[in-house]
Amino acid sequence: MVKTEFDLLVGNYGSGKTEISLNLALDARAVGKKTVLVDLDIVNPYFRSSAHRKTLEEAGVHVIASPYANCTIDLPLVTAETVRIFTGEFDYAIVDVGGDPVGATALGRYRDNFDKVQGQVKANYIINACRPQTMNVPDIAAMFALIEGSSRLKMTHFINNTNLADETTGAILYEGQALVEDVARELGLPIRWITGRENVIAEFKALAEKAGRPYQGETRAITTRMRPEWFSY
Amino acid sequence: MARVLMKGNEAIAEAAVAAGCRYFFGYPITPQNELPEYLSKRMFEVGGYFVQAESEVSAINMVYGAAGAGGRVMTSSSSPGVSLKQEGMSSIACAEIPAVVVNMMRGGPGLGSIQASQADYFQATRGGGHGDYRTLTYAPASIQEACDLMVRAFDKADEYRALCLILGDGMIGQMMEPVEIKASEVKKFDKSWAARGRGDRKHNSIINTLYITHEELTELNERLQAKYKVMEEKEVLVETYNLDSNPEYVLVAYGTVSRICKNGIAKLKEKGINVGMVRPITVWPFPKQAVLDAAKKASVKAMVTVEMSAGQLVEDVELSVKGVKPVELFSRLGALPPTPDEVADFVLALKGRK
Repeated sequence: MVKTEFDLLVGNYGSGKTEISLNLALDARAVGKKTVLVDLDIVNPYFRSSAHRKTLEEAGVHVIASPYANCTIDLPLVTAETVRIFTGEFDYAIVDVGGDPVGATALGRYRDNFDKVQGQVKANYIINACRPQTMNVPDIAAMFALIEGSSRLKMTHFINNTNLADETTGAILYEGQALVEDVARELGLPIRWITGRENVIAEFKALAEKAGRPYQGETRAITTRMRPEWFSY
Repeated sequence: MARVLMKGNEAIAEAAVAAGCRYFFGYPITPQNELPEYLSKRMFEVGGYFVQAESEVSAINMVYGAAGAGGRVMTSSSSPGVSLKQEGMSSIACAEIPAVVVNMMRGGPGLGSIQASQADYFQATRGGGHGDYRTLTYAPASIQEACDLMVRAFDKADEYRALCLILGDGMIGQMMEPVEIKASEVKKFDKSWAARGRGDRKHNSIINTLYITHEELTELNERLQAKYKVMEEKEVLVETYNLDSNPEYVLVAYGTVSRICKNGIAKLKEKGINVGMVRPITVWPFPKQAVLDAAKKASVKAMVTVEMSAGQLVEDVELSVKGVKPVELFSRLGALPPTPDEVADFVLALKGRK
């Protein structure tokens, strides 16, 4: 009996799948879970979770990625080792999926495997309301339908990860929350997390308190690792 | 449009649309694929045209055709693909028609690598194809700057009836940053030279690159060179950084590398070493005067070129400095950006040597 818990991270380019994947993996290791992270991205040649293989492996996270990820060629392939996540060997498996409908087709290949562990799978659809293609309910719903369709899986949760990279403020995340709540209502799925850097989350909470309006989902502070130090200048 | 988070390739594509570009012809290659992918949808929303050609060679010749008919037109590619376009680019320069080419440089030579590089500097700044011509070449260091330069490139292409090049690297194409793409009125230019039918005129416009007599070819070349001379006088864009701090060294770097250098300069400042920088925004025409002025500063011991190529930018620095100060080279080969610490260590080593 496979007891592995699965977190799938799905969403449009720039929604923050990879940052969240790294955080989930390292947080799970910190509480001793036997963790695997699959870099299933077949569309992005740069800035992939497996670029942080060293950090992850040092923390004890097993990384499954295309042998050609982060090398000098761009080959959209998925490694056979991916099926290891369904063997029951791990307590926790995170799957970081490529950021468009084409990227999500890689997930569809494992539909039968996921069906067998259905109750243990959370398919998280991440929304960044600062991305031009996903700034209103109809656009988000259209992108959601394309990505979910290609993935051949049913999404189960939303994550509000609204951000403008280094320029993110609590107010930006808070504005995004209103939109994500509209989307959640429209599509009938719950919001699981509201994610951002620690200072952003603190500002978000202060704003929510001031407004005196309850929000859906739990806040979760994340550490960002994908942006090299020299991105700020 | 409000401030949004965009990938460089997408943002440049959207900036092209904002600049009134309505024709795109290209062929896929990493790391610029998101640019044609974005325009393959966007062009139809704005009533434009997108063609994925069968090769880079046909794409640039479609650009040549659409530009000759007076359209605002562009193509994009990455290093090996831009090499394939060179014959067409030479023709566009010769025919004096406006077009914009984007090169998101990747490692070379040959097929090289998909990672970021600056090794096409000579190709971009020396003309690239055959014959005596130059391209007005912009080297953005951020996504916002890339968008702003994209709009500028279309205007300058029309103003000079010349080829403009956006010289990015894979990082500029792939990184995500907040941007604001400003919608502004698209400037109108006289395009009575365009070959789009006689209409009620008495003559046809002819787009031509073949000159049978040497007198005619000489006249064409003199006209081109006179145009490039005006560009050298008027079109230089440059950023100077930290030059009023009595710097001991002045770095010269462009694009992605200049950002790394700024972080390196901050690290050196923590160690009590003042370092400045000259960042060419146009790499052709090269900001010769700004580099020379920096070199002439009494506090400056040496100029330090930092580039992701084997010593290409350094030639322009040496030509500008004219021997008034030593010129050092920190060169990173093989398509992996240096770190700010590596840049700082290079300067520290220079200081130790003296």
